[in-house]
Amino acid sequence: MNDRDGEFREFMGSRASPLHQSAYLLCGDWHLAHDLVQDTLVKAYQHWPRVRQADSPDAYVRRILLNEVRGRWRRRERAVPVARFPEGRELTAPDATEEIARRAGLLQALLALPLRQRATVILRYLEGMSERETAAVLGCSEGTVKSQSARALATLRNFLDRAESTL
Amino acid sequence: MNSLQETELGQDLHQLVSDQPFAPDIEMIGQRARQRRRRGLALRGATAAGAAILAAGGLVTAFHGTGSTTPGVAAGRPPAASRGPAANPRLVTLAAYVQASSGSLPGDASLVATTKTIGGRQVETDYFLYSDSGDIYSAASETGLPAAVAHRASIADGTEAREVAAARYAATGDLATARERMVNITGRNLGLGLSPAERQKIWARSIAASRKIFREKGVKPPAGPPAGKALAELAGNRIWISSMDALTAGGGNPQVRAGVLRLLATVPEVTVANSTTGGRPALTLTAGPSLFEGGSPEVLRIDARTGSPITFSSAADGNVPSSVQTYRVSRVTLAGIEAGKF
Repeated sequence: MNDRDGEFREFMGSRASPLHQSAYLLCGDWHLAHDLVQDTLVKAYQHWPRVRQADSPDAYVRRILLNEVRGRWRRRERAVPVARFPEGRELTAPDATEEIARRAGLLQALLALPLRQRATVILRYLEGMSERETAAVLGCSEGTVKSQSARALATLRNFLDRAESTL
Repeated sequence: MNSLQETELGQDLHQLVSDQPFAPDIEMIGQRARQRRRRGLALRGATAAGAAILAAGGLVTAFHGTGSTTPGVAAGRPPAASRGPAANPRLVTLAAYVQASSGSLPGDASLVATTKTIGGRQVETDYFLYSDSGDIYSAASETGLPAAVAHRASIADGTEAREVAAARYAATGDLATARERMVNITGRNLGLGLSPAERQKIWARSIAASRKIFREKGVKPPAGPPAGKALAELAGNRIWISSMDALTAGGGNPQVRAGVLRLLATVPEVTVANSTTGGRPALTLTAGPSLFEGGSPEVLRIDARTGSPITFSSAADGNVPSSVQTYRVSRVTLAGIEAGKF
């Protein structure tokens, strides 16, 4: 194993799982999330010398992931598969308790958000990034992050009544 | 919204993703990255068959399911879908006009601003910078592009470059060959232009590569690749989708626009009607439902004189709301964008 592989494995070891989680919330399907992250990591490995020299390799790779998602939808959302698998179970909440049902509703609402708002929510509230870090990943201003967050949170408010009830 | 709700949202999101372990296939990632580098160094639009398909990782959309398929056609003959039907004369005429009017291109990249409206509400504008050498930079705002160019943060994986190359070839090249090239961009698993034996071999390889997913889903893989009408519609679907990509990535180049028009002219499910946009004469190209398994049609509106894309739209379909993308295409230089000059 050369230095490049060693560095990359180390990076991947710490970042692959969070990327996978973000990818799932971006696309709503674990299998697709797996594909997206594999493709993202292939690109990161391919351009590793450039990635490792970036101000934030983590932000760089997240940007690749977002572009993968954007590119897939732009290119493939209407691609007809040669044949189909049965519908997945990921988005349903069978035999749900109220709490599980609420979270399933939250996921549906999240997936219905425009991609940039969804990405903003994931980066800010799943990844815990600051507005500045989020803006760097999305390639926009902090003001845009603020407005995107506000719009997304307004849409998701109905699924966050747990918090409201504690006020 | 207050910080307590934001905290609770964070907790909910963590709960939603908490029970899914993930172990990336490190060896596969290394192999695919090296393969891509080799391919990039080798030749554009390479026609290497099965290995490239499998490496492309298209199993999610390409090889799924239980749909009925039948093995190929008579031995030794390529499938009829590769030859294509007679071309739509209006699109061919416009293609010839656009091709004839093409001269030298200013700049070395196309800047494309795509404004998306979903369900009648404008939601976002994305900025894509497509260099003539095949790089793609994107940002959520125009001001984000200089940094992307400065960091050479290209998101291209070669797909758009191959689509643009196929469209450029189609501008003056043999149409059957052009169709094959465009259809095969995302993998040769349809096997246009290949013998039935070769098609079956590729199909078997792709099914084998997706064996794990088939097993997880409890589905028996189809015995052979699609044929006949099903194959023609799949080919039409791919030509439409890849042509939309090519038109976005290379829309600043008249040759690419001419090639896309010639390709779309060969898809019988694409109909053409006169229209106007902002007082300008336009053509409305509608890709019928049969290209999308009965789903809602998609509509591309282009300038009737230049073939430049104006809007791309799809009607509401089930839970998916209607959407309209409006394009603004301009020619620029990479150096200028890097310097913040738009």
